[in-house]
Amino acid sequence: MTAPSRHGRLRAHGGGLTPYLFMLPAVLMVAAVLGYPAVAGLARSFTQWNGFEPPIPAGLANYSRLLSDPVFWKALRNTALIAATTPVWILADLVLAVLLHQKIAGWKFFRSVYFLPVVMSVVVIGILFNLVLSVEGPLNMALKLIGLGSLAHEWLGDPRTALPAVIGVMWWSQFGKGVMIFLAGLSTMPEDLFDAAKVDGASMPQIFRHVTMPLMRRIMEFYAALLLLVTFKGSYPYVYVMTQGGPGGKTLVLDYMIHEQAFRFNKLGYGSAIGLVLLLALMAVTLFQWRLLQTRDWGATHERNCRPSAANGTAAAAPPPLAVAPARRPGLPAPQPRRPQRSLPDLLHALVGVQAVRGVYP
Amino acid sequence: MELTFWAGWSLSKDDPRGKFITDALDAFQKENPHIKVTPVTQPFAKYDEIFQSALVSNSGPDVAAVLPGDWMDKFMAAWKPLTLSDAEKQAMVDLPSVSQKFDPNSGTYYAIPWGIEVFFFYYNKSLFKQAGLDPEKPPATWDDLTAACAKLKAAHITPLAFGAKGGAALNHWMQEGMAQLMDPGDGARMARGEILATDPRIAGMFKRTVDYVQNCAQEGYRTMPLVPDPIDYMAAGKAAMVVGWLSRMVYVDKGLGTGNFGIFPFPALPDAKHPGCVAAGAGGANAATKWSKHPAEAEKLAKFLSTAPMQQKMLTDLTIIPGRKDFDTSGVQWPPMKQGLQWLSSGCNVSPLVVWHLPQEASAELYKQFELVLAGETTSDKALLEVDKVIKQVTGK
Repeated sequence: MTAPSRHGRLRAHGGGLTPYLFMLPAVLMVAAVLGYPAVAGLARSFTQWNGFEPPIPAGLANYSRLLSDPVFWKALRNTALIAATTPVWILADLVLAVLLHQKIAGWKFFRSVYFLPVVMSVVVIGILFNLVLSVEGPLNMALKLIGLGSLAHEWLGDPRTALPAVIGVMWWSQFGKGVMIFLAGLSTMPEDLFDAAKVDGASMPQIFRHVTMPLMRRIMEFYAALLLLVTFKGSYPYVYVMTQGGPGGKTLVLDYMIHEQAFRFNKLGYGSAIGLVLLLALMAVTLFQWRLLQTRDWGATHERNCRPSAANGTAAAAPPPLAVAPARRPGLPAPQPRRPQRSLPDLLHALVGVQAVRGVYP
Repeated sequence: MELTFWAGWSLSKDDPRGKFITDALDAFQKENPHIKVTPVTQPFAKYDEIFQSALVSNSGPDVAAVLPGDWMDKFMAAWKPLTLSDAEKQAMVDLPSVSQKFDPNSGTYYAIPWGIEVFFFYYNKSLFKQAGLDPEKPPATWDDLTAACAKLKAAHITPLAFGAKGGAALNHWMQEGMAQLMDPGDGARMARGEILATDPRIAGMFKRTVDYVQNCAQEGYRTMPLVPDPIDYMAAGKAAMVVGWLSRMVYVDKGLGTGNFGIFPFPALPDAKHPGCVAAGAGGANAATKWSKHPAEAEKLAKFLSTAPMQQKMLTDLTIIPGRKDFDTSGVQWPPMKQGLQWLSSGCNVSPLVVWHLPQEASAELYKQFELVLAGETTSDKALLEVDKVIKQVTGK
């Protein structure tokens, strides 16, 4: 038996060149608005360029400056600090989603309200929190009212609290998205597992720790990747509106630094070099996440987590024994490789109703 | 034919300066009915960044109200050299700190100034009186200023309105301090990295400013932006003093009313080499851009605000000191403005514009460090050493 020809393979996938023709406009668009700037940025990163005069070749000067630039390291540190808080964001979102999933009184109202910040403009959120966190703002007034006046201060003006305040606002603006994703995920989980755990006398925290979290693991991984992107390349508008990198550079992040170098100091070559570093960092994170999704499959995890324990018949989070291929009866067709019960795109489709996710996570 | 005019402040008719400029543009269009001018307001704090983006994409205005300092040098590629007659050149104010700013390459003017700026203290006479201070005798020395702060605080009055967000407000204090402490030419030496931030004159003024702000500014000063909030705060009667451009007098007057406020120049420093000197410098100017499709008309519009009648109106209506020599002060209404003009004509004008002469990245570092010192995160000495590092890195010294 010979391997099918390339054309045959294309035909087997249906439609010959037609799918590619359909994809062409999108590919051209991506190449024009993302590919070309990325390549141009790479080229510019090896020059000294003020944006309007001809660029001067500078070799690796921008990169060597970057290594010795304390401001760059500060910005990288702040960016990494923001990214490092994402597990807390995820956990908080998951807890809120679980509480809503219990259908507590007014859960529909809370579900809508929680999503509100997601649809608000970041600029509006920034301005709002500039007022909330101001020295005479509602937060300080509330602290004074409950007898914690000693804690009231300039949240965004104090180098110790400015970055945590920005992180808090970022979480606030994103948590609705997380809650929605987790809620949708919870609604697809088999209720019998939760019931079984309850019957066995598991407490709420135990159910959360040993049933909910393992079941939601893949969704958490997906959301973690999403949040990493937000923290790496989405912190700019928050910083721009709220602190502009201050006080004293304590909230300076990489994407704000790119803007500062390129458009404040007219150093577009240096800004491009920082941009490239940010791009590489993002690619590394995305690749890591992609590998994670490729190497683990939802079905196995799901099956492993749902396998009844020999001892008590309840869901067990312990690792399963090594799978042993069952003996095949003569005459029966060879078993097809087992498809995961739910692939991640299926799951995401079910969760957020975004068909396009299929293309992103094949 | 359509021309676009950009300014880094409100061009709304509700704003005194905005109304003045839009009225002036209307007058220009009446004189030149074939030209339609579209005014565009850009945010002051981001004006240079927006201009930079426009420059890269050749999509900026035909005429721009430009700022002094780095502005002219930074955007040299944008400006169309102006053709000035001898009469126009002679009419232009001959303060080097003004003309050089708009003439970065000797002999060629790229912008025509319509205003000179100087920083003064504004003070609220009622609050001074309330604190037992003589409202007609404002502080004349640094010790007087410190004593005034103590007395105002004792009377539970906020002595100073200050906006430390971004740190750039330091600029005003440093400039005025350096006018008394430095010699002409020192600014250029700073730009070359020959005078560092740890220079005793700069360090002394820096520490003085930090102390004064920490002791006398309002609660929440660290998150208040430089403009326009501190002036508005003071004009609302919430603080007794503020340092501001003389051209902001119209806003203080709007808030406190004529007769309820006064101005005084930066008090004499104990170690002043040139006591009484103020740092008068370039304020605003108009420039035509190279990408204008109607260069002759753009140049005409750029010069319009600097014509004698417009300049005279600007002085009397807006308290902006003209960029021309031939102005008449008899129509000036505000007593503080008369006083300010008197101080300015007293002959002592060193105007080294020291901080503006720092390399831009060093200025940015200075402002960052100022914020950290105000927050108690570092000391003034350590902060200035950090600024020195940046100066050395940028100038290669």
